[in-house]
Amino acid sequence: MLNNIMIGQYFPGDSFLHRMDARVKILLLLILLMEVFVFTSAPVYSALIVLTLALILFSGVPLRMVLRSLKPLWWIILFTFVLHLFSHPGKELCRVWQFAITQEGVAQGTLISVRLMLLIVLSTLLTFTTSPLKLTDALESLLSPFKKVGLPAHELAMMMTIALRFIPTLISETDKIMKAQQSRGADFVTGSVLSRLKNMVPILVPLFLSAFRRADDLAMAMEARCYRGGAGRTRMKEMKLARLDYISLVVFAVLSLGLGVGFYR
Amino acid sequence: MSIELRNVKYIYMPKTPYERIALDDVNLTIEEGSFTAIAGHTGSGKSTLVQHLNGLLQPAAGEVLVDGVNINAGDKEGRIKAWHARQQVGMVFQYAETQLFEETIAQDIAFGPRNQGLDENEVGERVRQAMELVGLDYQKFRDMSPFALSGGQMRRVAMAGVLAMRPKYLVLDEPAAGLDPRGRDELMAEIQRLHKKWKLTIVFVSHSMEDIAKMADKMVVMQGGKLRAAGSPAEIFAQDDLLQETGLEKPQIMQILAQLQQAGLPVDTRAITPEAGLRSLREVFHLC
Amino acid sequence: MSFIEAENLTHVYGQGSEQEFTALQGVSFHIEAGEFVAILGANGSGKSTLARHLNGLLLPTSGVCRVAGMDTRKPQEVWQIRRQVGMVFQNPDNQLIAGVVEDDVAFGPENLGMEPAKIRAQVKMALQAVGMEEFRKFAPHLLSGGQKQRVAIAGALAMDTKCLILDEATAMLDPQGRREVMDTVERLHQQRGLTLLCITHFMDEAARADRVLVMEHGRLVQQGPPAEIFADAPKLHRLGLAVPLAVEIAWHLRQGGMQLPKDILTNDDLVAALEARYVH
Repeated sequence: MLNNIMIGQYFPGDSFLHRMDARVKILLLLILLMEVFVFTSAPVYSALIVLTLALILFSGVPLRMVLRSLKPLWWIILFTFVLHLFSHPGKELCRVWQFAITQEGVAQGTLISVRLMLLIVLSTLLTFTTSPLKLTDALESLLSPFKKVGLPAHELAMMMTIALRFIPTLISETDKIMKAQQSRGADFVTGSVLSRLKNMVPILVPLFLSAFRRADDLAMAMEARCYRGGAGRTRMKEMKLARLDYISLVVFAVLSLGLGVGFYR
Repeated sequence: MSIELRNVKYIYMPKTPYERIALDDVNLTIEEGSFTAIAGHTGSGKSTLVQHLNGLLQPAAGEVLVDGVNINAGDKEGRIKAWHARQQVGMVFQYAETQLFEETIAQDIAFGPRNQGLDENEVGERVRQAMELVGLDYQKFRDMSPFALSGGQMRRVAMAGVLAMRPKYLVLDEPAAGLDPRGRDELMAEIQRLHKKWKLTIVFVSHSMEDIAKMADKMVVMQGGKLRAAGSPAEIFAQDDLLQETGLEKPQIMQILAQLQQAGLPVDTRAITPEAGLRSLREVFHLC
Repeated sequence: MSFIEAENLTHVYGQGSEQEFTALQGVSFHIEAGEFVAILGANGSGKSTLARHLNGLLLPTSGVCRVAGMDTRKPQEVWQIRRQVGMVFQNPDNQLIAGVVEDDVAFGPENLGMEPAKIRAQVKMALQAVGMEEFRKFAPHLLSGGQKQRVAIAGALAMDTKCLILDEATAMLDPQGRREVMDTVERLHQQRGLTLLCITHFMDEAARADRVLVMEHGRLVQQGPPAEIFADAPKLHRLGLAVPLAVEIAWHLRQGGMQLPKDILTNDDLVAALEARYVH
């Protein structure tokens, strides 16, 4: 039942997007997302769409898989589009019942939908081309300047690492407990929302107990391996910016500048 | 009466990159009253197979019949019959103690019977009897928290929770895993008693060839999702090639006897249990 | 000086509370560097509590535990002790920390603050030593139980551990996984002189040790070479334990009046002894 959940979104590969430093990728993504929000003109959006498509092409991730990431949000996109269709005064195109669809509405709806899609696709492209591990390491590194103001960057990253490591384990555990209780006649499918919630107790109690037991074991194992927090700790994989990263940063800066100039000219 | 698997096929995570055929055209009949062991390497399809016996997994092709009723029937009338048929098959998972959740032992064991819609008197009676069956004193344990027990005792509570539903067929996935030698012996003896005294049909998955040799009257060998061989343990253990190909080992006593035979001793290499092996050795050495 | 010296170890859980429970009581023993020692005992006999004293995960309520001359109660020495005494736990799923094998093996060296280049060398060495280098990029949940335990062993080796404690590390494995793990640690024991401490319910594993300690109700009730310990099969059965099959068979044959050597432990021993007794 839970087997069909895809674990993580990472799509292994060796494209330049895969090889790029994860910190650079996160920064570039943030810049891109900002551009998506700031610019609204059709030419710039076309450029952004072309750029996104090019990135997908270079990444080696099948377009089908990228589009699949839109699936859960398809309704929201559609809803936003329809909402905008009707909610902008302007040149009337046609009428549905007593509401008017305007030209401005179509334009605005398209813009917002495309904006949403770009946001999702660009973000998933990051998770598709970056292993969860590199992502956590990058976050730790990017957040570490904030340690001075008391942000527990190492602890946050360690928590994420452990969570990622245990997601598959807990999923298979949930599956097993559900099956065991189903064998005892438990029903998770029918009944009212309230009774279904109540029926979750036989799953949640064992699951929590097991999670606590695992946490206990893991804490013991970490201590046995000399873990004592982030202080004095080194990393096997040093994060160093390579030529590829510098080139990407420069190319990107030029592109963004070009877009900006093009827009304000 | 029997559980019957006909051309059962199961596909793991279909339509994903992880798609794999986990069961391939499996045909198997488990007769009522039998004691069947399922052996095979980890990943050979043993657990997938037993999860078909009470409808936890539905075959992609083929059907599973319990006492002649298709337990995965989809139409309205068939569905009720199928539900009743599935209730005939009790399932005890590996490390079953992890499924306990209630505040008291009696409450936990009552979970199954209550789900069956029985009235409270009947439920109470079932709980008392199930606890007796697994050797837990009713008066002493019923109001205790299951989490105050030792691992071995918790596993008994979990077993009682399944037995309280009065299944005709009891499926156990490595029931003795992780127990100490005494816990193992006691639990296996308990299962044997359920078979002999209460006439329960037993299906158990095991990595222990010793347990299989000692208890089972039928042995099924799985390999790569296919049913590779079925027969009495003696028949299976006599096939050296089959054991080698499927990565199973003979019971230790057979290994000892085979070595002795090679050394020229006229021992009975068909003995599959230590008791039978000892008998043969006593004969060879003229001991009383 | 022995490598591990346990003197009169006593451990009380929840001292002063209602659930006060004495898990260890006056346990004393020494373990020499390079020894292979098995610890037997029924569930709840205090084996795991004992093991956790040997690397300072638990501290004695009274008594002393010294490793390579260092006292586990001294906070500044405990890290040095843990570096030297590695531990592999029962559940293979609950002791790997990172989402990739090589990163997990690197966890210990990283905690010790080794240089990145040195860590890479250590990880490579450790994965090679347990035969897992081809899996270095794998996620742990894609490995078999035996493979996960071998990764856990590599995690200890990467810290240059001198001693490995297996706390029922084979209990949750299938026969193949059990063999993988035992073959691996025995090879390390022989080739590198790794001190090995094996807590187990599998008597065949214990039979391969140099020495066996037997625990009951928190006390150390017996210690000696396996042949000596297993000689008294009925006593072990009383303790809720078993003996290897060859020992059991030999015991029964002796009861039947047969003269057999005292030191039969393995199948090969038994076969050789019976062959010698047989008159063609």
